[in-house]
Amino acid sequence: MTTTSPDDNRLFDAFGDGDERALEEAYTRWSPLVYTLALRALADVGEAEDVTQKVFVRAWRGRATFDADRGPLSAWLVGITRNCIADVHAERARRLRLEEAVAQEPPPAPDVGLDVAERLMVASELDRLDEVPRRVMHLAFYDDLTHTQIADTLGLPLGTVKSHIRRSLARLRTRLEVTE
Amino acid sequence: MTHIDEETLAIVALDDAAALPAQREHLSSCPTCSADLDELRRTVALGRSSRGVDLDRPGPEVWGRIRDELGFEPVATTPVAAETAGVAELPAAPERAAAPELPAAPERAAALRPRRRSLRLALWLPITAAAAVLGVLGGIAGSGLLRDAVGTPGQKVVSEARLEALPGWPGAKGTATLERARDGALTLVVDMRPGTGTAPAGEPLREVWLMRSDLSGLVSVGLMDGTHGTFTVPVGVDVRRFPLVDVSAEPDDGDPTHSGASIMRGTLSSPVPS
Repeated sequence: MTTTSPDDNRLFDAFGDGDERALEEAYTRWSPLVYTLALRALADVGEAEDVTQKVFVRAWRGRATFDADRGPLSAWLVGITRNCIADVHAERARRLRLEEAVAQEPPPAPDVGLDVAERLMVASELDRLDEVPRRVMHLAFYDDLTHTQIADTLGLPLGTVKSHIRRSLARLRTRLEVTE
Repeated sequence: MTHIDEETLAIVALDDAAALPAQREHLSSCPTCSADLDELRRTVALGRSSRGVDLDRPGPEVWGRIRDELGFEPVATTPVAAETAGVAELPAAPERAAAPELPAAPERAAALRPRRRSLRLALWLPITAAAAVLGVLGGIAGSGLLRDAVGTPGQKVVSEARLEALPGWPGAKGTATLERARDGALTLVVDMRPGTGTAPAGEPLREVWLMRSDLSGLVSVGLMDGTHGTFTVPVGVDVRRFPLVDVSAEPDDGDPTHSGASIMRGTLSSPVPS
């Protein structure tokens, strides 16, 4: 059940074609996701910005290796982000070893697990839904309303609510197909 | 029994109790449907746990650094002539000279982002050819507040406003961004935080206005559908004279004047504090 939106297909194509505006659009859409992941993992604004820069530079230079069949662009970017974050951690550990006479275990890295990445990705995708489906999903997720209660609350036909739920969940699920 | 349709699976993923006995039975014996349901349940769990997750945004200069590193032409896509023509009606910009120091960012902006960001921004500003335009309308001083620092592709953000709730609309909040297209046309992009500014009685029409600072004059730029709107600023409307962005709730009564019920309001960032 891959439901890539036409919008995404266009962006993939333009990205592959080397259209600079596609990078700009990808940056507009996903730099908050990339940056927030990096900021949470590194707890440093400057380093998080550096990672953001690296991620989009690498994505652009490596765009030929992007394969839309293996997962969405966002998941690919998250994969690159995780690599860049790991690089910063490795560099920090190396510095620490150099600085300290006694070699120590580097401090445990903050949680940058898949779960955090996925939660951020879902949050960012929820944000991008149109207003009505977004309200439907907020009521379903955060207010725990049933589909009938949502229909009552928003004054929408039951079928419309069901269809918003199906489409939004499918879309979120697609975005979670992470490229390893 | 045939497989359970996607719609039902989605509903059951949200609420186990929604499954009918026959569907339950099918799920217990059908690997396809139960695997689908498991994935949807996982999506739901992630969705529920994403409550309150806020995404941060990188500083506005990061995009410039990416462009630099990749060797994209910084303003090659924006003919200088068009830019100049676009600002011809604006006064000469003594502010431009002051831009490198970019001294006191407005208090609110300073409180919202690290100080050093605005300093680094100040260093980046003068290298950009666009600085001439940015210096005039100067909005980039407030870029850190913005949802999307780079704005719409092909457009340059020239000014911004953070929109705050008026009494009676608790929680309403948004941003307004003034963008200049390559041909010089100005566009006002208004974003309202989802789920706010809704009257209990229903969904009012929302209208976006540009106003004088003292509210003594106003121009409508259009009705906003939902929580996002992109409006062309009519040629001849001088944004410097109407720097206030106002989103109002309008009754569906055909009366073209402002209802007096403003939901949120904010001032487009002035060039450089003087």
